[in-house]
Amino acid sequence: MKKTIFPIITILAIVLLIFLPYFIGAYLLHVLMTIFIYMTLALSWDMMLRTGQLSFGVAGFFGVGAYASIITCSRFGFNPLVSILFAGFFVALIALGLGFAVLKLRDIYFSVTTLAITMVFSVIIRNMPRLTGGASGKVIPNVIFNGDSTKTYWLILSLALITILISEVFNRTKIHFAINSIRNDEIIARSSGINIFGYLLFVFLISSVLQGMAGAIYTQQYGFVSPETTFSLDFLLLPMAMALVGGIYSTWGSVIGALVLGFASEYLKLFMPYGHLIIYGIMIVLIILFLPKGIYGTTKDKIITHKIEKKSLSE
Amino acid sequence: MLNLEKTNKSLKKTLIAFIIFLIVVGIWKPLALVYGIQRGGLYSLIGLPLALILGIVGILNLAHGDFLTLGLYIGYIFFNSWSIDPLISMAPLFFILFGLGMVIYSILIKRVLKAEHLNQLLLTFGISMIIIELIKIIWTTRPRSVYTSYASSSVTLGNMSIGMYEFIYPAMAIAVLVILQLFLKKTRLGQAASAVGQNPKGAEIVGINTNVVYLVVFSIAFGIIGVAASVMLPRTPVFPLSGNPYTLKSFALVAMAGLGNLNGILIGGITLGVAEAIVQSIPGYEGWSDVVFFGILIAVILLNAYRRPES
Amino acid sequence: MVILKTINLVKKFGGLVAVNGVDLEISEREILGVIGPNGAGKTTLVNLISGLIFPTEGEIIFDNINVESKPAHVRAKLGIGRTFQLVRPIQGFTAFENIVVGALFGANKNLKQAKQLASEICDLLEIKRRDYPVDKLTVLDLKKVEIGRALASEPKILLLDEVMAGLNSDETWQMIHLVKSLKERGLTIAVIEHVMGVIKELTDRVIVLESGKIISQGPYEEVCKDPNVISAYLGEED
Repeated sequence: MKKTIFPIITILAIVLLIFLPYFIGAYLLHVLMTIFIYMTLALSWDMMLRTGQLSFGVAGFFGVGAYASIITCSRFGFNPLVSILFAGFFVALIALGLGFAVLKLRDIYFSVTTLAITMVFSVIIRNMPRLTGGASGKVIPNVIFNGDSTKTYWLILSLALITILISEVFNRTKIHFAINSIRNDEIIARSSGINIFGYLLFVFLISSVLQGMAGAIYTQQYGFVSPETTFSLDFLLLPMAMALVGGIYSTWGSVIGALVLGFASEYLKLFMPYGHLIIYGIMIVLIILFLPKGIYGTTKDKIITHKIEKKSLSE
Repeated sequence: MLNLEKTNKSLKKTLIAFIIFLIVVGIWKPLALVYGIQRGGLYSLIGLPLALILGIVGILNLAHGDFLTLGLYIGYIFFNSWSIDPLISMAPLFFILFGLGMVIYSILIKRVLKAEHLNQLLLTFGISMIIIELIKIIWTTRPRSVYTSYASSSVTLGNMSIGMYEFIYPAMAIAVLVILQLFLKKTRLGQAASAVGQNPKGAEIVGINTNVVYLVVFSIAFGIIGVAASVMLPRTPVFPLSGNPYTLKSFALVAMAGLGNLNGILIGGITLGVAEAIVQSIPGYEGWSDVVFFGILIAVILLNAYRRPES
Repeated sequence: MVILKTINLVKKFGGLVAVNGVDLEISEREILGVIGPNGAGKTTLVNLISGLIFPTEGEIIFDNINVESKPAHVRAKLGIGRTFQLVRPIQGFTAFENIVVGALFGANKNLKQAKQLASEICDLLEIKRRDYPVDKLTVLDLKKVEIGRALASEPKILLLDEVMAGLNSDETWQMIHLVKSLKERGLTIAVIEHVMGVIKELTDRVIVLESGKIISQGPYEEVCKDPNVISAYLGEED
């Protein structure tokens, strides 16, 4: 019974999401678009986290994708959709190159290196003004779809749905067993036949491409990039907070986290125009201290423990 | 964990290489050498507390630079509201940050000492964001500055004009380093701290109260951040992200020097300061000077990873 | 037929020589005992063979292939399986899922086949609480999971590192029967043990390691009478 209901609900949900623009107002649609972008970032960050590596590179790949898309549009006249695909491809190349160097690192060294790499991207972009517009950034003449929110929404929705799909694949198939083993015990993983570097590279590539394409789509919406706004730590802080609050290592966690924090943030902005981001920092601290598994993770855990206790009572 | 295996021999080698480097730069680009020693002194001064916390308490504080920013703002308030000269506020800033360190350790850091590094990193990242946003809320993003007449004094040698104030940076760095080394080697608490840094479990077994050691070391490190803030204040614009870049730069120093090597922080800091100054003196490439730090950081980490044999 | 052979295997950790020129041959379907005092290099030898560390010198030939420079995961796929002295179950998985891991990657099965194989192995090893997360299992269960995971990768040779440690006599006999039955299924097994009774009961042949070298080999009864072996364990006779 459970098995047939779930796909039906999923299809219904997707259909609902597709037709949403016809029911809700422009403001709410815009909020949803932002939430889905952040959801993509949160999920892709979580994917890497599942391998046991904490990456601070989200904002970096987001920014590179954004710039790749805007530059190819304005300088080489690419069609916006093509430029987004190109951005994904470009980020993939960079991630591939970086991956060979960086994926042998572990722990704080990996994390700090990803942070340093993000800074390096930002510095490079600032210092190539002819290509990137330097510190003042770059503008393209037309935003994507000429500002048609519905089509933009569908584009973003597609990315989010693809990301959710990939996240589920990572959580259910053979890949899940590989990633979990790598995170928990690399020595056992290695001894059991898992090609750790191969899997890390694979996840790193996919998560980077998703982040790059999110960056590309996001900036195509506004038609504008600049080092300050595009490489902003917001694109690192918010996705992390969302994944943590919802529950890391799971698809639903990031989805719930993105929705909860996304809507909460809109509400907060009304009261605190300046510095409402502090709430995200506070949430991260509180979650780490008191609820490290997040809402979804803790709930799931309690259910499993409850089931086991019932089972052992009946034994 | 501290690794005090840097033998005298290798320290001598590094020292000789360092001095040769300084001499070569002095001949080639003397102005860069002067600026480099000045800035580098500041990097060392700020890097020492991070090295202390990472080496002894074992945690990487991603909010390091942001506490520096906080110190700058507090110093600014002292100056602006009560006309207290920044250098005079060194003592109060030390104690305020010391106290802040005690609070942060007891309420937050203590709880994640035994947690996974992931959680520790996320926690200090969250703290970093909180501080930045808090500063934005209280003081907005409008930059502030503190002006003192002595900070703008300069000396003209030939056709070069050199700021005199900034020599205080390497001077303070050396002073703090000497005091720290004396503390770690000559005082009981300091020796206990060294022991904890090398082998926390062993230290506990021997009866050292690691919790007290962590608390004191953490707070002293924060105090040094306060000192750095007071010294920087006359020559640094104060805005929410003033101190943030220093976190990664300090970590670059620790990566270069190796855990537990405080002397190396001084040498590394000045080396990187000089390298940065050299890049800044090349016309057209000034903007790339940050890459020096990040590049060296990444290079050092990668080199160490590849040199290390299989686990 | 010789399934595993090492030629002058040496491993140095800085100045310390852990394995000092080991020439070893293991024949198919034999159960080889590996004994020796603490620090003799037994676990290092296992780590060298399974690929967690690489030799300073020497060759390792498995199934007629030189594997000394192949990474551990490749050797696992080729058929070298091992367990660990201190059990290392993969946290966050159930007992069953732990074994699935071995089947998926060591034996290259797809998810369905892997689950099938894991199920059979759980039956074979009589793992009772297979759907429990590993942090809720007994030591004996965990040891079975450890072996099960290695078995699931369909190895040709299985290296058991002190698998009897921590078991009571009942459980030890269970384990002995289990290992013997594995031999029946065509597996070659190397057993590192400290419990001599187990070695006597289980092995066809024994090698004795001391300070990284083989000081004696042969059937258990011969080896335990060898004066070199006695002095290695008990010290020189005055």
